[in-house]
Amino acid sequence: MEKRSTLNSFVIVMVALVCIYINLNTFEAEGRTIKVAWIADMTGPTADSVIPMLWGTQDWFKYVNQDLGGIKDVKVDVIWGDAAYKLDLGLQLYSKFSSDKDVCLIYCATTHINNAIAKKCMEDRILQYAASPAPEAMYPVKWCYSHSAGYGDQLGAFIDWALSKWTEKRPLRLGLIFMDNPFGKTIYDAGGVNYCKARGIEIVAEEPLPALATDVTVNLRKMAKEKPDYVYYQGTVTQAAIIARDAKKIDFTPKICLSANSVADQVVSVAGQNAAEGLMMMSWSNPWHGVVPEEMKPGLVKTAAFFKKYRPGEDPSKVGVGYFHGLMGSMITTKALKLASEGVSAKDINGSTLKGQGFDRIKSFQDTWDLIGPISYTPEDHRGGQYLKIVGIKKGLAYSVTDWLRAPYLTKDQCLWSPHVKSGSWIEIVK
Amino acid sequence: MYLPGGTFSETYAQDLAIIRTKPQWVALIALFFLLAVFPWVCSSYLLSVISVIAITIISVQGLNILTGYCGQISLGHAAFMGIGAYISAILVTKCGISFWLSLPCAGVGAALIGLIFGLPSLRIKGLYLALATLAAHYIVIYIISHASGLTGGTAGIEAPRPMFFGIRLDSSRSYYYLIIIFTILMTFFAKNLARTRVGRNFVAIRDNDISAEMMGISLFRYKLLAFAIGCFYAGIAGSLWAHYMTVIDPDHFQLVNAIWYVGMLIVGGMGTAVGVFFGVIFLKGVEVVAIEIGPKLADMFPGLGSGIAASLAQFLLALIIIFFLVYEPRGLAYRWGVVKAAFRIWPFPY
Amino acid sequence: MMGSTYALLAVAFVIIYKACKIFNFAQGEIMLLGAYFSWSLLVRFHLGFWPTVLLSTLFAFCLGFVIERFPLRPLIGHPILSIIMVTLGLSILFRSIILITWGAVLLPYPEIFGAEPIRIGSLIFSQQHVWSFVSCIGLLLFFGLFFKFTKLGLLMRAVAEDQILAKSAGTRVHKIIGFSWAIACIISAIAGIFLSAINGVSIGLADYGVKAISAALVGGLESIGGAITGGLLIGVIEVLSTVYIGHGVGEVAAYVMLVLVLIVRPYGLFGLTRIERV
Repeated sequence: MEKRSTLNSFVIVMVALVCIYINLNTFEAEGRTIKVAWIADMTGPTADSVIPMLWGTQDWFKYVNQDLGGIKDVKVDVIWGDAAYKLDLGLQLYSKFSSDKDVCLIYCATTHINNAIAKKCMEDRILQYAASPAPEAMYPVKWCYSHSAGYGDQLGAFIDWALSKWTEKRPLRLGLIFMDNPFGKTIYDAGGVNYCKARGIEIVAEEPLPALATDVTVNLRKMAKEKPDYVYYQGTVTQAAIIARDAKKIDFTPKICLSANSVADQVVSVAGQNAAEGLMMMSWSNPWHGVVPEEMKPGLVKTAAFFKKYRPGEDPSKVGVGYFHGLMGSMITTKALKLASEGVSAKDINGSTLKGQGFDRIKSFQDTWDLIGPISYTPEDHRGGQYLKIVGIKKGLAYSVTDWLRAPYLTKDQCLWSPHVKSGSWIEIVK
Repeated sequence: MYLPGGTFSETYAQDLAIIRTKPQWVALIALFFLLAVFPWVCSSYLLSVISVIAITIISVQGLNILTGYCGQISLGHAAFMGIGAYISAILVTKCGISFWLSLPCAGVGAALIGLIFGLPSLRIKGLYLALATLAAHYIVIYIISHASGLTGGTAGIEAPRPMFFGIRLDSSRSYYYLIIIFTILMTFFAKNLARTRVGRNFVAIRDNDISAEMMGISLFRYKLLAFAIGCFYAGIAGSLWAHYMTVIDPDHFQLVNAIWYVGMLIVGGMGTAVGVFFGVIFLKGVEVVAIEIGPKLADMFPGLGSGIAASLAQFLLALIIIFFLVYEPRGLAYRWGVVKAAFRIWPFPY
Repeated sequence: MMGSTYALLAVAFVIIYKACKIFNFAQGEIMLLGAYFSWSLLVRFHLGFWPTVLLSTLFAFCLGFVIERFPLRPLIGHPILSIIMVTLGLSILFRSIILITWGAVLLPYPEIFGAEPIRIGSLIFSQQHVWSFVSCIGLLLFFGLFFKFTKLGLLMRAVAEDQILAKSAGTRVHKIIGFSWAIACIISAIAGIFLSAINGVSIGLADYGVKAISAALVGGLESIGGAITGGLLIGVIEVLSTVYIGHGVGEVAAYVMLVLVLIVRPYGLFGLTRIERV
């Protein structure tokens, strides 16, 4: 008897949940509201970087809707779902979002979900926005946009910079450390390593790290035998911190450069100020927290205040690069919406018009609060930001080692880069 | 086997039939009809949920044969699915073979590799075997993601949708029919297998391998056969999965999936074909509800924040699973049996 | 040196397996709970290192009893697989509790061991690793003695051997199983503190739980000494295969080893051999 009553209460709870769900679905919005959707990993293994991205998007559109009064009467609603890094859930969320007529754009930061929905997005005329440009998402060109230079381009830009400083006769010796997963190997997939070889770099050591490494002393010692001049690392910030610490431990002296996923303040807080000293990192953005005071440009001050306003009580050093990605994706989307609403009426804004009238017309978009270099899209290239900078760490604070560098523009298959790269006058410093 | 009153067999064929009574025939035809009209009435969201559930059912049916009938616990099922998916994708894209040929090839390929990893089962059993298959998972995934010449490595490989008499099954609706037909066929086969000599040998091995061997059942042969059949199912499911997704990479086949397949089997009830349906539908259903509830919670309580709302939904999901197991540890299939029995004698209590 | 963390987790795993014959899939999450809890004490409440360890231990102790009381006790006598499934549910539960309480962002762990590496001849170790190695050896000794000489330890072994027999001999089996869980949780929490001192605390650390399973298995599921040896061995193999083979083999080497060990010695290196003759 007791068993039955618990079963009954279980059924009642389930029915109640379904009722709540149906009730909530009857909610209606006024006027023209465009929806952007996030297929996010809220509870899975990459939640630590994806949740800040969602925050960035939500905060920005809250700001647009409330403080700016929308974009020409168009309000933007951010909806999201938790795919927990699982592909089947991602696809289910996609079909849920795509059946909603108001959804014009889907943000997703999980590479394998992004790849799986790419074709469907083109068929359903919905734009995709990837925080970090995996090569598969960018070549051949799809309906997927991003604001940052690819991971291969990051390595390329770093090599360009290193060669510009290189004075000795012998070829430059480079060591590569990367996580042994798709994310780490994208420096190969995205043509970065081929580019190094084409520029005459001698790659002396390649060390894949297991995703759960907690001690990389062995790998570093093995690498130290080959005496590299520079070391480039591609992976997560946790491992970057471990590398920094272990390198200090065994007095491994070459210049270490981390890929753009590591943000200075986060590396400092995880690795400790002492270990992080002297590290360099590629950066998509100007850091807006933990920076030497003289480099806090007005836009960066604004960003810091924005974060404080919308996320009171949160520590900016913990959100890493995610919040920047979230903000950037939404700033660019807002710009595209503005452009599109010049061309078509509010009710005609959909995926296609947002692409043709919006995104593809963005040229040298600079109003990005000093966070990133100019953004341009063409119908053939959706990578947007072609500019990167190198940030260094001095006494626990970030400073700019270089100004914006133009990325060498790699494509996956042939490793072809744009003509001005081939000619040799490839570093174009933007002022 | 319990039968409704008044049902008896006059011929041997009648005794063998799976479907015995008229109401059962009616229910079956109604079910097929529902499945057939389903994609025309429901949203594409629901359709994608059902498609994934159906593919999962095929895979878990295989696991049921291996674990539920033969008692060999496998945590490598996601990897075996991956093998099937990759074989199929490679055959179609690199060798230009038609999907209809590559599908059975995927099944057979997965079965062969399953045989290799089934070998330790001859020496070890129970949870130790579970861990050997866990190792199999990691080894298979390592090979897939490092043999980049063949598999495309971590970047993945494309698997185009199949052609059917000149029509490409591009829409989710047409592919749904393909999946459903295979689900029905494979379930039918699994259900029948359990009633054959092979199936009964499996059960004997599960219940007590030593006495099974004394009765003259070759453990070597039947354990490996169970691995082969189980992995064949996984391979077929993997192939269907690959061509449903149209692009696959090693991240599709994670260990969590394999663990959840076992979980579905436990929740549904081991050793019954119908339990597989219950388990998969229940757990997937709860998962979908959790996804739905997350954003709603965030809307209802704006102070909560999206991250916490999503976690709360997961919290509910976990609670439902735990409560369910505490109050129904024998699985849904058992409860189904109880309910059926109750209806059979209704309205009389005995 | 890395192996010592695996070893700690493997010990926790083995203790639970010994007492109730179940696989604890929530191992990684229990470890994480301990790590996050200690982080809160250190950073939010500014406690010192030793009070933190003490309080975390206490917390883990209670956690173990709670786990035993609620989801597990009602399941006694039910199929073992259902209980394993419950630990799977627990892992989601703990994960969501962590996400609700601490959020998903990466939390930097304060330097508790000092950054200066320890040099022994030409060998250089970081302090975290040395400490985790030392405490691992310490725990091995402690539990070795505990299981041999204390009453509780002997009772736990009796329960592990045969629950029904132990019960009929007047042992309170619930309590003993509760103690097993509590001890396992304490060890996991300590492992969690070491790991997060190296890595910072993030949800991804839970994956170490799976690694520990293979460590436990290489050593043999029934033997605590075996678990420690297995853990250390896996650490060594990872390093050696990285040095001599490369190509990221380190990650699977442990599993290849696992299969080989299972084929040659089906009950692990130190497991109880049950001879079955027909």
